[in-house]
Amino acid sequence: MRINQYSVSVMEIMIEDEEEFLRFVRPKLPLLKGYLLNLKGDVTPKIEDFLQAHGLQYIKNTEISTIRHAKRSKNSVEVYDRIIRSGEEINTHNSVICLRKVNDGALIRTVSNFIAIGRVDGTIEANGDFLIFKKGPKGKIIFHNMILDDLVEGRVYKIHLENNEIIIEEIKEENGNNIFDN
Amino acid sequence: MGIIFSIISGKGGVGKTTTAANLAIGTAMQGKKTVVVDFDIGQRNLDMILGLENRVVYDITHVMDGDVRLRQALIPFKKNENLYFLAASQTKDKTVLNKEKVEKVLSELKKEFEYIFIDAPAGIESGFEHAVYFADAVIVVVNPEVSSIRDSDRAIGIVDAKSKKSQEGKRVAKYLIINRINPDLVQKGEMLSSEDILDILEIDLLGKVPEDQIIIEASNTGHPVILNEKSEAGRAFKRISRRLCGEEVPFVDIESVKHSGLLKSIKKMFQ
Ligand SMILES: Nc1ncnc2c1ncn2[C@@H]1O[C@H](COP(=O)(O)OP(=O)(O)OP(=O)(O)O)[C@@H](O)[C@H]1O
Ligand SMILES: [Mg+2]
Repeated sequence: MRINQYSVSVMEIMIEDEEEFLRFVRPKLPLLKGYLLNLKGDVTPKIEDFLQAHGLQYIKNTEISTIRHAKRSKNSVEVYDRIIRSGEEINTHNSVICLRKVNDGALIRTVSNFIAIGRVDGTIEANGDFLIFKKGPKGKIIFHNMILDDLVEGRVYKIHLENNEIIIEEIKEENGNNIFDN
Repeated sequence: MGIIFSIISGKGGVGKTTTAANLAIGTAMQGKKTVVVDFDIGQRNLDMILGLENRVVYDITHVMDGDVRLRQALIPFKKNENLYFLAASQTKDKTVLNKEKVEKVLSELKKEFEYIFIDAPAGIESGFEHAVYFADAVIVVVNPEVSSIRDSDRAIGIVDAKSKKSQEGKRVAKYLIINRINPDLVQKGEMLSSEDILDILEIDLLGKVPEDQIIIEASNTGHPVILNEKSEAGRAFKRISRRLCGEEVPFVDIESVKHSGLLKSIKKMFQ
């Protein structure tokens, strides 16, 4: 007997409307290839044909029991006081604070939290408790394997987990200004 | 001791060699003892742009290998006595470069010249790394398009991570030249504006150079545009050269479309 053990990233999607689902999936094909899709709701033949044609892996209406990882030990913080430029990749267990911008083509991956004072145009993948950043036109944000693609450019967001749910909040000053603008 | 300026871009074909040739002539015209070195080993171009292709006997690899002395490989630029040129090899490839050899040649050049321009190869491979390793400053040439900006951003990141000065905790000065600006396209919003580019790269603007047909003719005739009073790009390179020599030269707006009064009013009639 031989046993291989893998961790897979599962993306659970509740399908309510065939077209809406295809619209969501189409632009993200390369990214979604890294996931096992667990589709809930009405998985129509058209959807199945589409997924198979593009080589996406999926299961239907399956209840997956997940093991919640024990709370991480307190990590430390990495502070970057420079522009994170295209081509740079930061992979870390620590929380990341960027005092300047994260440019398009840069990648920051942390199992912990992420804060950027400057605009984010790069890709952020974080799995901690929260993220705070200002969304640039090209910023790509992935939090606990969810691609957050309806964030609005120029806004400052706080994104956090609450009872396993992702909460997206916009941060504004009392006068309605964007807090990082001045 | 001279200053080494490496001219870089990330993306190829944006105008590094054109910039190197013109700025080198420009600083020589300002009275600075200048040398321009082709580091694009295996794909030399600068000799043609300078109109010196018939003069190249020895190149930088001969100097590095100790076959000839530096003096024998330096080619004087006929049109200005302050300028010399060191060619790249057309037959070898970039694997002939190594840090010790490069350092030896550059430190010799630093003793002889005030301004040393290095025409770096495109990309971010080893040839590029050698071209920026000993730089005191880099001049980043971009075209106003997103792919050029992103590639140059990457090249800047590598300079900050890998050049000798950066590794010693010192700052490598970084200057931006935006080349091939087409005012019509900027106005129509089809080209990135200088503000957009500076907002992304956040390095100091050294100058803007317009798209100019004369540059293409100049490349073929070996008579760089800075020597041509009629060329708008030539005048832009002249302003940049003066800035490099420490002069305060105001920035000229080359991004707004210039219509003659008559043309403007005719255009209005048809709007
Ligand atoms: N401002 C300009 N207006 C018009 N043509 C230009 C301008 N600048 C450069 N060119 C043209 O663009 C082409 C590429 O220029 P050049 O060889 O200087 O680029 P490069 O960055 O050195 O390229 P490579 O990466 O291949 O070394 C040439 O044909 C040149 O004549
Ligand atoms: Mg070139």
